[in-house]
Amino acid sequence: MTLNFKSGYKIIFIIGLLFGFASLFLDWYYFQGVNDSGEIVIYWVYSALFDWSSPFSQGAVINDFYEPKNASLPVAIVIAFLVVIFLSAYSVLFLDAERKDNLPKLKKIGFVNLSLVILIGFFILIYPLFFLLPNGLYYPFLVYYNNELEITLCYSLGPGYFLQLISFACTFPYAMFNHSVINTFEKEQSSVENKINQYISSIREDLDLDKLIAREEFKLESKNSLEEASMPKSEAEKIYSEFLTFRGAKVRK
Amino acid sequence: MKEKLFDLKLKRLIQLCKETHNYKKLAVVSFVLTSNTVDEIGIKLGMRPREKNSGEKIFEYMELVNKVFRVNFSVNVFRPELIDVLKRIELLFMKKEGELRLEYVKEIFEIYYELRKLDVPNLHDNINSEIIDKNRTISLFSFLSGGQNAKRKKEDLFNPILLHKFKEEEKALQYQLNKQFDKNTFEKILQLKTIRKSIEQKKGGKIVISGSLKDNISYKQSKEQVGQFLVIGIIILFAMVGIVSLIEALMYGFLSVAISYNLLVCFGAIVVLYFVNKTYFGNR
Repeated sequence: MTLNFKSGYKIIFIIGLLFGFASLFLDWYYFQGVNDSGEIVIYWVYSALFDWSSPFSQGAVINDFYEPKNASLPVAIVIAFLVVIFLSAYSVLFLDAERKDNLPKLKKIGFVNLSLVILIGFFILIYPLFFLLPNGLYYPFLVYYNNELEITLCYSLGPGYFLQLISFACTFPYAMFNHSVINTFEKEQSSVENKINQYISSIREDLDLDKLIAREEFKLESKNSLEEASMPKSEAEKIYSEFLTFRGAKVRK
Repeated sequence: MKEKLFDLKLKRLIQLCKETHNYKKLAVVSFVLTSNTVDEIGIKLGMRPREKNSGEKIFEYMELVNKVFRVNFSVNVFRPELIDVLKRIELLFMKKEGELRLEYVKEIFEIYYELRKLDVPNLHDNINSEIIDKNRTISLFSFLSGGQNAKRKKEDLFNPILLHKFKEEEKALQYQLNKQFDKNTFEKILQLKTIRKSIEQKKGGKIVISGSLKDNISYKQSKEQVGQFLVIGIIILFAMVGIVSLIEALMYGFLSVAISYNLLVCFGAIVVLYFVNKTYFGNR
């Protein structure tokens, strides 16, 4: 099986979609604190779908104190991202622009792939700028020792966020290519021509020439036979005429 | 082939009707054929069909088509003399309820065959993409290549000259068409007019494809652009990470030293990728 140039990017796009989908179930950010004896005293993990979580139960003072607040992405955006992933997957798997008659269909949902890229871009850019940095959660990773608390604080992006970065690189080429194809090419309205022809035939007054010819022939035949009946024929002529009629080769006079 | 068969049948019918002296049938057939042909011409030229129910006559409809095209293109689609003959016979046909002399029927058939010769373009069809392509100066995906503004300005300066050329050619063709109606000339006028309008309205012309997209040469060429999109995508990615790091450095001054490595990697990669893009895709 040979893959053409574009098919390769299509596969990369699908991989990007899978990464984007998987990233929602993985951790996006880790925030840990380890004291001098090596014991973990702070542990917070962020996942886009499951929000901030900690293995420590409530009551762990330091852990509760360091709980990140207002550092979660709105759930609506995450759900919208999920929907866009599914729509993109549908469009890439079932609506190939190269196939006949798919271009007008793609035009209708052409914005989906573009929305996907924009949403991934939003996660990559807006999430750290608006949710991490204002809450003192450093980007992309940082380890430092807090002298007052005698705790080593570790800030780090998780695999979920890194998958988003890869997903952006994977989905961008195909999405932009599809978008530019939709905006550059237009399907010739062959269906319009067909419709016009159909319309012309619908308003055309029916004229069955075969029927008209048959009627005239019948008229002429009956006229001729009337003439024949009125004219007396000789016995030989009658026999010959009957013979021709029987053979089906009677020639009209 | 279809027309030939139809003509043979019509010839046979005429012969038979002559033998039976059924001229009424011939008259009706000739008028039905003429009416259908005139309707087809009108619709192809973008007009409404003849309103048979409200008693619009064939010659009236032909006059209407002529009027519309005289106003828009200074062209008569149907010869006025032809309409005059048809008018005379049609009114007689209506008055005598189909009972026409053979010579009138002959004239109607002559008109029918003359109308059939009139090969009008179907205005519902799109303009031939080749013509648009020839006059297209906007390159594919030009929004991603550099120097776009300068190029656009050059195009804007070039447009008035192009418009003037189109207008001149249109006038010459109109003059030619007034002398003798020709389908190709008429089509050319329409194409010129459409292109001129699109330039005037500054609409971005799209490449019209008739068959499958994969068979289109422009599409095949544009496929190579996916590689450029990959490079651009990675540039944007590095730019986003770099912007976040830069803002972080501004927000937390004590992190500047640590973050400077990130910034170097991000913006360094952008510069490298910019040159990669220019080297491999710059000419497109």
